[in-house]
Amino acid sequence: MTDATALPLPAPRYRGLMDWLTTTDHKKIGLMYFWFVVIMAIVGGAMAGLIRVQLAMPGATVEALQQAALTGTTALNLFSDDTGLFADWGGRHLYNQLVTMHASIMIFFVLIPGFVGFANYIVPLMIGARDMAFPKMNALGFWLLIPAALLQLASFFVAGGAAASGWTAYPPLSLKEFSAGPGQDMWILGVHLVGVSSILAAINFIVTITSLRAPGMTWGKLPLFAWATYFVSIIQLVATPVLAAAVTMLLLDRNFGTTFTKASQGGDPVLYQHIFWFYSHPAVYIMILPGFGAISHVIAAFSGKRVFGYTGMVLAIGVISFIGFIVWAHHMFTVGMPLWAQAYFMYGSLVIAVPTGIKVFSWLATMWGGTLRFTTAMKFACGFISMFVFGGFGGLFLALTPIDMTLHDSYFVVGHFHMAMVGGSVMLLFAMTYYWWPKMTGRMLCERQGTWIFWLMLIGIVLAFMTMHVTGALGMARRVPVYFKDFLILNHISTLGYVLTFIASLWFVVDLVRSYWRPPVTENDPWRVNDVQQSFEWATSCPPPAHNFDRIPPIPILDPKR
Amino acid sequence: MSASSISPPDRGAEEHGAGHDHIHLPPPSIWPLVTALGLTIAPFGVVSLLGGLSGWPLLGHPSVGLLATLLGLAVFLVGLMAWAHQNIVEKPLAHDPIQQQKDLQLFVLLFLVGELAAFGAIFGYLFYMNAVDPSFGPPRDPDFPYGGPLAAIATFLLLSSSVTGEFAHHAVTHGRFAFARLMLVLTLILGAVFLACQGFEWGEFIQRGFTPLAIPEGGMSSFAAAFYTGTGFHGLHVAIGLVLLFLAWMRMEAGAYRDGRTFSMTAASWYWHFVDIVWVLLFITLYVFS
Repeated sequence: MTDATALPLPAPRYRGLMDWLTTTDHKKIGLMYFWFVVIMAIVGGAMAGLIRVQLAMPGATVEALQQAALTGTTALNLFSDDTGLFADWGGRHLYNQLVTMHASIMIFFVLIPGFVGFANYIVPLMIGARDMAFPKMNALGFWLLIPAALLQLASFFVAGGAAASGWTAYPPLSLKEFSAGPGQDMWILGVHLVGVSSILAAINFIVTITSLRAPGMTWGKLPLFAWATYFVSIIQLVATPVLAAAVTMLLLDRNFGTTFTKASQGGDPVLYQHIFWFYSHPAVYIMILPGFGAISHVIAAFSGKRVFGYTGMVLAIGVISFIGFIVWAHHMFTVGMPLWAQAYFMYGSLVIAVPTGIKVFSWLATMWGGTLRFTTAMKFACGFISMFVFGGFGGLFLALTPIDMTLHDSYFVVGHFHMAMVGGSVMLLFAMTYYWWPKMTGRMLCERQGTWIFWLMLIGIVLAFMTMHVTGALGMARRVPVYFKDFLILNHISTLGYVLTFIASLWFVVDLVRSYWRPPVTENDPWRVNDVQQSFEWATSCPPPAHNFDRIPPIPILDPKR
Repeated sequence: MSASSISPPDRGAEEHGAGHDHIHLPPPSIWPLVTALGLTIAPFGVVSLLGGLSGWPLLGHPSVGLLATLLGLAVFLVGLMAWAHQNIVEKPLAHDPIQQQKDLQLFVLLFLVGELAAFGAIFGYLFYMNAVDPSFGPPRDPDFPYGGPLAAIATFLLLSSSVTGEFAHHAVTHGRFAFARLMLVLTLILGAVFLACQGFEWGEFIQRGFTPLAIPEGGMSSFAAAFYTGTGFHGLHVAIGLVLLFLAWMRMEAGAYRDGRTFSMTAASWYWHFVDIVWVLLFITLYVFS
C-alpha cells in the first residue's frame, strides 16, 4: 500500500463565505453548530436574565398586590400591565413569553444541537471516518435550525407576541381561545423544522456509526461518545416524529377547527400531554446522554486510566435510552391518572436511577487510583458529577407520586431540572469544549481563566438552583412573576447565582473568541491522552485536514475491555 | 496489556484504500442551503396566509403570504431536485458503490422507522380514545355507508399494488426492464385508483355530514379529526409514493439501473410497502375496531 498523502486530493471548488455555505465537511458543519449554539445560548441566557431580574425585584409581592387590589391602587411591578418597566411590550404577558421562549430556545437550539454539533465534529474522527455517511443531509440538518430559530424569535414581533403557553404548549392554554396570536403557530412550525433537523441528524449518525467505522473498530471497541450518540440518535429518530404529530394536532385545532384536544367536543387535552411527554421525556436524555459518553473520555484522559467498566457503561446508556421511553407520565402525576398508572410510572422512573448510578460509580472508579490532572476540562467533569447527582436526587423526589403531588409546578421542579440541565448538560458542554477545542480549532483555551470560569459557574449554579429547591419546597409557584414576601431573600440569592453563571458564560465566550489569536497547537495530542483512549481523534493534526486522516486507521486501537 | 488486544495498524489501510488512487471527499453543494431556504420562506408565508403577520411590511398581506408559501415550496422542490441531480452526476465518484447502496438502504429503513413513529402517534390517539371514551367512534346510523365495500375494495387494490410493486422491484434488480415497465405502470394505476376511491369515500362522507369537523347525529367530532387526519396523512404518503415510483420508472427508462445500482427503485418499493402496511393497520383500527 502506497502512502496516501502523496496522492492528489480534489481541489475545493469554493473559497471564503461560499466555502462555508456549500460545505459538506462534518468539521465545518460541527463548528457552525457550535457557534449557532453559542449565539442562541446568549439569547436564551439573556431571557433568563430578564426573568431573574423580575424575580429579584418583583416590585410587588403577592401581599402588596392584594393590598393594592383592596385599595384600588397599582403596585409597581416590572412586568405589570400598566406601570412596569416593560409595560409597552406586553406587560405581564411578556413574562409568560419569556418563560416559554427561554425554555424553547435552551432546549431546541442550545442543548439538543449543542451535543449534535460536538458529535458532528468528533464522532467521525473518533471512529476513523472521512466524513458523515450523508454529508449533504448533514448540512441540511444544520441549515434547518436557522429558519426554526428565525420563526421562533420573529414571533416576538407579531401581534400578541411569542408563544406564551410554556414550552409544553398544553391545551387549552395553547389554543386560540387563550393564545390568539400567531406566535404559537410560529412556535409550532419552528418545532417542526427542528424536528426534521433532529431526525436527519439522527439517521445520519446511525448510518455513519454502523458503516463508516475504520476496520478494526468493532462494536466492542467503539468509543463511548460514539455509543452514546448512537443510542441518542435512536431516541431522536423514534421520539421526534411523535412530537411533530402532537404539535400538528395543536396546529390543526388552532387553525382549522378540528377537535383533537378540545374536551367539549370529544377531544382530550390529557392525551396531548401523553403524546407530548412521550417525546419530551426521552428528549431529556437527548439533552444529556451524549455528554455522558463524552465525559467518560475526559475523565479517563485526565485520570491516566482507561474507562472503568466499559461494557457496563454501554449497557447503562442503552438501558436508560430504553426505559426513557416508558416512564413519560411521571411529568403528569397531577392530571388524574388511575392509581395503577401512577404506581407504574413512579416505579419505572425510579428504576432509571440504577443505570445512572452505574455510570456515576464507573466515573468515580475511573478516577480511583488514577494520576489525576485537574485541567479545566477535568474540573468541569468533576463539577458535572456532583451537580448532576444533586439534580438526579431531586428527580428521585419528584418521581415519587405523593411527593410530586405537593411539589408539582413549584420552584422545586425548576430547581431540579436546572440542576440537571445547567449543572449537568451545560457543565458537560463546557468540559467537552475545553477538552476538544484544541482539536476543533487548533488553539488552546486559557487554563488560568478556565479555573475562574469553572468556580464562578459552579458557585453560580449552586446559588441559583440549589436555592430554588428550597424556594419551591416552601411553596413558590413556577411561571408566576410575583410571590409572597417571605421568598424575597431566596430569590435574591438565585438571581445572584444567575449573575455569576452569566458572567462566567460570557467570559467563556470571550476566551473562545480570543483563542483564535493564540499560537496554533503543533502536536496531534496536546493533552497527551492517547494511551488511555480507544478512539482516533487524537491521532490526526489539530485541526484535522479536510480528509481527516492521511491513513486509516492511523494508530492501534486499544481494546477498552483489555 | 496483551499484544492480542492491539489491532494491526496497517490492516485497515490495506483494506480501505486498496484499488483507489485518491482520497474521496464529499464535494461541496449549495443545494442543502437552497432546500433550507425554501423551508425558511414557506413557513413565514403560511403564518402570513393565516393572517398572522398583519403590520409587517409585505408579508402583512395574506396574498403575499400565499405567494411566499408557493415560492418557498418551489425553492424547496428545486433544491431537492437539483440535489438529486447532483447525486446522479456524482454517482460514478462513489468511493465504495456496494457500501453506498447499503448505506442508502439503511437510510430508507431508518426514515421509515421515523415515519412509523409519526403514524404511531395517530394510532396511539385512536387506541387511547377508544379505551377511555365510549362515545368516540364513527357515525352510529346503520344506514351510513361507513366501512362499506368501497373501503374493502380500496384495501384490496392497494394490497395488490404492493405485490405488483415488488414484481417491478424484482424485475429491475434482475435487469428485466420490459416486465418491470409493465408492473410499474400497473402499480401506478392501482395506487391512483386507491386514491380515487379514498377521495370518493371522503366526498360521500362529507355530503352526508361526516366532515373533518363534525359527525352527524351529535357524535364526537374528535373521531372525525382523527379519521380525516389519519387517512389524509396516509393519502399524502400514497401520493408521495406514486411520485417516487414514477421517478424510479423514469430513472429506469433513462437506463440508470443497467449497472445494478438500483437504489432509487428499492427505496420507492420499500416506501410503497410501508404505505401498504400502514394502511392495513389504519384499516383495522378505523374500520374494524371502531
